[in-house]
Amino acid sequence: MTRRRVAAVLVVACLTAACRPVKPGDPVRGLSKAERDRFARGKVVFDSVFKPETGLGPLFNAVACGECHEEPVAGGSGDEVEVHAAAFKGGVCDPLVGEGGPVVQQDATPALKQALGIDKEPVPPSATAQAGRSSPVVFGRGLLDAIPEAAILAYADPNDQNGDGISGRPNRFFDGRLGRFGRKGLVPTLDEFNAGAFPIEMGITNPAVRTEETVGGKPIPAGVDPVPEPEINQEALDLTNTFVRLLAIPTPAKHGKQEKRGSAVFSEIGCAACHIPLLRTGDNPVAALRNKEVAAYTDLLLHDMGPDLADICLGLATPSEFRTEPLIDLRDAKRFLHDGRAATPEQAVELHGGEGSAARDRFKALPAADHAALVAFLKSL
Amino acid sequence: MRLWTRVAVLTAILLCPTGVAAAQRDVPYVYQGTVQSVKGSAVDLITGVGHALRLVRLRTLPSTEIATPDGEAALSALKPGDVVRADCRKTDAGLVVDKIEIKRPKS
Repeated sequence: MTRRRVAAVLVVACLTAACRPVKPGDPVRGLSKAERDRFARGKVVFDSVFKPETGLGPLFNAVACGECHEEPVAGGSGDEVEVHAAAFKGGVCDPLVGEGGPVVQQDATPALKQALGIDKEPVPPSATAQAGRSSPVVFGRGLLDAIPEAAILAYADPNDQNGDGISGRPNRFFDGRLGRFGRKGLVPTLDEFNAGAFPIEMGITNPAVRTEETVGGKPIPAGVDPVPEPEINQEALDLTNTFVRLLAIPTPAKHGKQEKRGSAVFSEIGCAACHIPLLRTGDNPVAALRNKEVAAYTDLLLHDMGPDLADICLGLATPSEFRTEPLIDLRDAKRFLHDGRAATPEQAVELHGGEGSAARDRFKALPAADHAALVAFLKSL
Repeated sequence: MRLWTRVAVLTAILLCPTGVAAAQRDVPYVYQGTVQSVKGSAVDLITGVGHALRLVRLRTLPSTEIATPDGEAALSALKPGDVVRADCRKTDAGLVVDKIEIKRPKS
């Protein structure tokens, strides 16, 4: 084989690899061997099943990250719906931390059951609302983490000065930093979201969160969780962060004529005013996340979704405000919306209220062909 | 020479326990969070990591400095919802705060 032919074969092989669709659970393209290795090791931690003797609980929602983020692969969605609670009084949000909020764990270890006679955390008595929270996919979250703050804030229009009926505004964490993760957009960074998820979801303390959750605001009884803090070390936390950070957004199904029309309708009827089709990452220590286009269909801002969807407040988010949900891997989703109340994408659109009302009404009024095209587009993502 | 050695040893004996105790008493802590409540001299602050939120109770002293973007203020200027940075010390009596800086709310 001549050198020229070898080069041609290599070019074709590279192009073929680059064109191969990214499947759910794949890492982002362009990683170094060392990064791929840490991604693989991080998946092992993500799938690790904790037991009481390895730190689980004493209160928890799941025994592993992968218990809730499992469909169709690790990092995907789950059918679990957890319970959150908060109080909203006089325009002020209280996450009820002193009563065990805002996440109310739904399971307890045998030792805690024996000590207190409870099999889950009680709902805070001062709660004015409870919320169901389904488990979303975490694909593409590293890319969302890499979106510059300025790019997010550029879409904010809290007073709807442009008069389009859409008034996105940022949530902020309790220390004032811009939030972007979670259904209410409270959490500023992916690492913090993950570090916080270990104790609230599994009762696993770590170097970033060294104290256990309370039981309804009261300390856990002595002796029910004898594993010393932190229950995982920095390396395990870092590996988990790496795995989640590097999960790619799966390539949408191939767009035929109908999906292409649906994509156009998506913009025409106003869905794209909040579900911004493309964002761009900024500078990033990981080259594969640096200056990349991110087709996540979100602006990472809070929008008023109307009284029918309203549940709890969190941070600056009022009960009816939710962060625009990224539209990622919808074709594998079994349930839709923040609490999984919708069984289909059509139902999810039809349940939009508030700032989404106008787009919803235009969706309902679409000619049958355009309606079907939009649904086909959503199901292709 | 012997006199100076005695003086040095005596000085070390007298100073060391005080220094160690002071170091144990005054462990500095910095918290950034949102004021949950102000009741008397107690300030409850919401902090945390991700959704793992924690409530931190701070005890103010008459000497606690309250700083706002417009200058110094009284404790009564502190309101629930304020985003603050609190410079604290852990003492035998709990967490005492030397300075609370109110950050201007961001929209």
